[in-house]
Amino acid sequence: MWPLTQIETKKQIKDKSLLFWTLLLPIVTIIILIELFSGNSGQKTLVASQSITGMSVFFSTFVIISIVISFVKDREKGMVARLASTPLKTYSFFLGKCIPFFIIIVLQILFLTAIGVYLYDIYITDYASYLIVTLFISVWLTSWGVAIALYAKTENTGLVMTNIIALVTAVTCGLWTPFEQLPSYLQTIGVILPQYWAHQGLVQFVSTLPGGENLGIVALVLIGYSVLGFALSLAGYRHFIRMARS
Amino acid sequence: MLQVEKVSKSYGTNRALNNVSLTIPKGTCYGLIGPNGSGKSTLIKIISGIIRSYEGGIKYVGGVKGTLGYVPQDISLEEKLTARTNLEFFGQIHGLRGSTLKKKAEQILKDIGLLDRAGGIVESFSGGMKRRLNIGCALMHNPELIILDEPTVGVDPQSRHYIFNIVNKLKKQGKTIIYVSHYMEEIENLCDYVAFMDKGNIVEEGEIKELLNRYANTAVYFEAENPTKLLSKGNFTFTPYKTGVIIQTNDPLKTFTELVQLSRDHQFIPEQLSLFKPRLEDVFFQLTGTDLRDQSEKGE
Repeated sequence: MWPLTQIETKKQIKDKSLLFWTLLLPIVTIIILIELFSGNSGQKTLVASQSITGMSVFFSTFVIISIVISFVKDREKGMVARLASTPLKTYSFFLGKCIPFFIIIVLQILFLTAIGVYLYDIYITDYASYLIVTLFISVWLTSWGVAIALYAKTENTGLVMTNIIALVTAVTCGLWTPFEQLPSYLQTIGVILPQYWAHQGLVQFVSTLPGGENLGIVALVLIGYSVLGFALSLAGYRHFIRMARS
Repeated sequence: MLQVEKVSKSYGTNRALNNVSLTIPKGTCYGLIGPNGSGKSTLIKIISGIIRSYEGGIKYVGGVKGTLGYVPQDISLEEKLTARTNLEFFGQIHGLRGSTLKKKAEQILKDIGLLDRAGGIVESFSGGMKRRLNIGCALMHNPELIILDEPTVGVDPQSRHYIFNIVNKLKKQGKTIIYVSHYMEEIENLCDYVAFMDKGNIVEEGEIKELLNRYANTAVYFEAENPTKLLSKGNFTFTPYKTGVIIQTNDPLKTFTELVQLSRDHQFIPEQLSLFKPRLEDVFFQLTGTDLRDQSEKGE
């Protein structure tokens, strides 16, 4: 499993598009949002808190694209079939490929948060709890990424699905604008989606932002959505393996 | 020894393999020939453990199982990474670590002629170099059974030469090799045994020398301008072949001498006169009534 994790990590580090989606674009977007919506320096921290927590959840969704591309490429170029002729177990293959993406999401959220803390004076009330929410977000997104990857016929499927998920949930879950300011019908839709809980889980531990949801409930919801993602992956993995090997 | 016993495999209603049985002796190079869709790839995927759901059985006798190196027809490499990283990855998958891994990667890079490009990104390699690396990755763990699926498709002469050298070296080391190819001449030059596949069946198999003898139409090849003019003067049965004719005979040497005499008598100078040596292509033609190359081109 670890050789696969290592090689996947090396591959992702070399992938410039991943760097763009996970770091460059979020940083630029956050800076633009802060400059556009903060009238004075007092508001800057408030806007930064909303932008950084919202954009952390929004942009971490885009890692799904990289997960789909990685799995589909491995299937199409015969790597999955080739590895099936080696002692590598099927579960090791999936785990080995997932671990780097899990780490990428965690690092991405922590890096964006660090920008908020050091440049915009965001105050995190409980770093350990903030990290726990981050870990849950990462597990949930990785499980969804794998689920989509296993059903995707082409890399484009991943692109389209991810964009739909990211944009719809950004609007309905208050990732771009404060949730309280959304129309009530959007709020009703938002609370059933994991992005809302992920965002509110982070907000809970940022002192400058009002609102937030209890860590226990956030964890429960994100675990639930992760279980859904893994269940879908489990249902789809036979189909994926069959396609890869035939 | 590897025994394939009555193996069948269907994809929906399409029967890809139909009761296929083979015996591959240890330490030999075994060629598999057949047109596209004949079931070759399915068979080698079953042997290499990639396809696990099938009827029949695969028996490994003499410690072949567990040390298998599969070289797929596709270039299955991490193209954004270096040649060395790719080799080391496959070595690690098979449990190699530390200095053993480094030394083995070095040795394989030398064997496949890519030592000077060890740190090069695979993406920038030519098709032939990628094919060589594709083979190298399957050899990192020193397997006893090596399965090569169309290893020379689309490669330049230099890489083809390297690949043949690798196969010959493996043969000398006593490895068991299954070599799948469309190119009859490759199988004829490299392999000891051959199996012809068509429509999911083995239509013939055996030692190449023995097969060539069994299917050889003892004949003489005669090429000249208007050969019928001369041949009609004798009692010959002949059929057109390439740019000349094949004269069927039970005693090729006698026929050869008769043709020399006849040519002398009529002051006729043939462009070519030789004892006809049958090729695997001719055997395949006799077995299936079709030319493999034509079938493959249609399939492609």
